[in-house]
Amino acid sequence: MSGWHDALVVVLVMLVLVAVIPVLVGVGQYLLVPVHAFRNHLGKAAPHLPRVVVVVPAWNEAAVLGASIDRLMALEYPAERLRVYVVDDASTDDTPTVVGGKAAQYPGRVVHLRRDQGGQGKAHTLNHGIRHALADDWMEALLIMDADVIYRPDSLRRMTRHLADPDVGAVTAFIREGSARPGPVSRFIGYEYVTAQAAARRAQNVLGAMACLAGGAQLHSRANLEAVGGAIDTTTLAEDTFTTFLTQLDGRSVVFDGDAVVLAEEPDSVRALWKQRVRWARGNVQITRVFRHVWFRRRREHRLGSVSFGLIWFSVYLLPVAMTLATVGLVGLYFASPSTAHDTFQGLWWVALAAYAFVTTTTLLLDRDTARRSWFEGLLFPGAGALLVMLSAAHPDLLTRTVPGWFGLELTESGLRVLTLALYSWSVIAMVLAFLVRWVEVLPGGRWLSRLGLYVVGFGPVLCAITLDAYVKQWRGQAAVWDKTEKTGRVMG
Amino acid sequence: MSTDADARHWATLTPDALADEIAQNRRSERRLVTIALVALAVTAVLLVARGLW
Repeated sequence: MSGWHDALVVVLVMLVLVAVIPVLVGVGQYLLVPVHAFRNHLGKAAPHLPRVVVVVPAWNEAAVLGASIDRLMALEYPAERLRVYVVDDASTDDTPTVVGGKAAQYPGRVVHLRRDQGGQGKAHTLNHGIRHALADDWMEALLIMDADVIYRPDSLRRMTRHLADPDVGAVTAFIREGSARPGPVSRFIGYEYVTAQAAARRAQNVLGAMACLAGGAQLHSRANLEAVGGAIDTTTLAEDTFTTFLTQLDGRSVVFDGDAVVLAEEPDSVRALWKQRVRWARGNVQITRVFRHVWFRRRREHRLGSVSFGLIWFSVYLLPVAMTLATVGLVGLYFASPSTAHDTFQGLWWVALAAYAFVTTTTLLLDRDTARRSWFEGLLFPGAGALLVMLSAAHPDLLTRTVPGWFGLELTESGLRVLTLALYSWSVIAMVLAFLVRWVEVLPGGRWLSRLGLYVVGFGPVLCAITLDAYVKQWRGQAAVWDKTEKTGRVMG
Repeated sequence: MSTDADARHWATLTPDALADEIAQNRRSERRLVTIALVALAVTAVLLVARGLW
C-alpha cells in the first residue's frame, strides 16, 4: 500500500511539474533577448530599396483606409518604387469611393482592385492582389498589410534592408498597439504585443526559427513568394503562420526587425478579442496538424524541427492543458499527501514569482512607449487573483489567519479546506472565470464589471481560456469562419 | 514638398544614410543587455525579500 501511495505521490508531483515547463520555456525565451544584442540580422542587412507592391485587403474599411494610404504615400521611400494595390473585397460601404479618390490623388501609385464577389476570407483577397503583382516583372518585393495599420515613415526601408541578403525570404515588423484612446483590453494587448513580438520574436531571431509573420506587416521577396507557390494558403485560418513555415522549410529565413514599427488599433472589448483570438488559436491547431511531420525532427535546411522551437510552440499550444494538469496534481496531493502538496505549491509559486518579476521588468523596459500606457496592465497581466495566490504561497497564514483576523473571524476546518483547494486550483478557476468575464460584458451595465473581472482574472488566463475554447470548437468541427475584427480608425501617431 | 524638405527626404535614402541607420540600430540593440541585467537584479531582490519576509 505504501509503495502504491508513494508512486501516486510521485505521479501527482510530476503533473504539477508539467506546468513548470511552459514557464521555464517562456523565461528561456526572455533569456535569449540579450543575446539578440550580438546575434541579429543587422550585420547582414544593407541599403536596399527594391520596387515594392503593397497589397491591402479591404472589406468595408472606409473609416481607416484613407489615413493608411496617406501614410504609405508619405513613407521615406522612393515614390517611383512604391505602389499600393487595394483589393476591395466586394465592400458595401464607401471603400470604393475612398480608394478611387486616393487613386486620383496619387495617379499610378494607388490601384483599386475590385472583387465583385467576396466573403471568402483575407487569404483569397490577398491572392487576388498577389496575382496582379506577379503578372509583370515590376514587383521585386511584396508587402502585406492590414487596412488599418499605420506605417511610420521609416518602417518600410527598415524591412527592405534585410532582403539585401538573398537567404532572407521574408521580414516582419513590430506591430505596436496604437489606439488613440485605449481602453483596458487594448492596453493589455499593447503589453502582450511587447512580450509576443519585441521579446519573443527577438528570441526566435536568435534561434533562427520564427513562428509567425505579423499579418499586418510582412514583406516578402519576389523569389520567396514565387517559391511558396505565388499565393497565400487558403486551407487554414492561420495563413500567415502557414507562409512563415513554408518559407523556412524551403531554406529561407524569416527576420523580425524590432525597429520597423507600425501602429494598429486592436480590439477594446473582451468579445471582440475573443473572436479574434479564437480564430488565431484554431489556426494554430490546424498548423500543428498540417506540419506534424516537422516537429522535433532536425533538418539542415531549417530550424523549425529543433527541440527549442518545438518547446516554444507546444508550451503556448498546450498551456491550458499544463495548467489543468498542475491543478489536478495539487488537488490530488492535497488528499494523498498534504505536506507534499504544501511544499509543491510553495515551490511552484516561487518559480512563478521569479518568472513574473523577470518577464514583467524586461517587458516594461523593452518598449517604454507601451510601458507608459500599459504599466498597470503589465503588473496585473497574470491577474490580481494569481498575485494573491503568489502572496499566499509565500505566507500561508495570510489568508487563513491574518485576513480573517482583521474582521474578528476564524476559518472553520471546512472553510480552510475550501480555501486551500481554491488556491491550489486557481489556474483552472481563472480560466473558468474568464468565460464569465466574456459573458457578463454584454449584460446591461456589464461592461465595467467585465473590465474589473479582467484585472482580477488576468489577461494571461483569458488567453488560456480562449485557446481552450478554440480546441473545443476545432474538435467539434464547428465551421471555421474568417470574421473581420471591427476597427474605428482612431490610431495615434 | 519644398526644396529643403526634398533635400531632407532624399538625404535619408542615400546609401550612406541607410548604412548609418543600420549601424545605429545595431548599436541600440546593445541596450538589451542592460535591460536583462536590470531585470535579473529586480528578480533577485524580489526573491530575497520574499525569502526574508
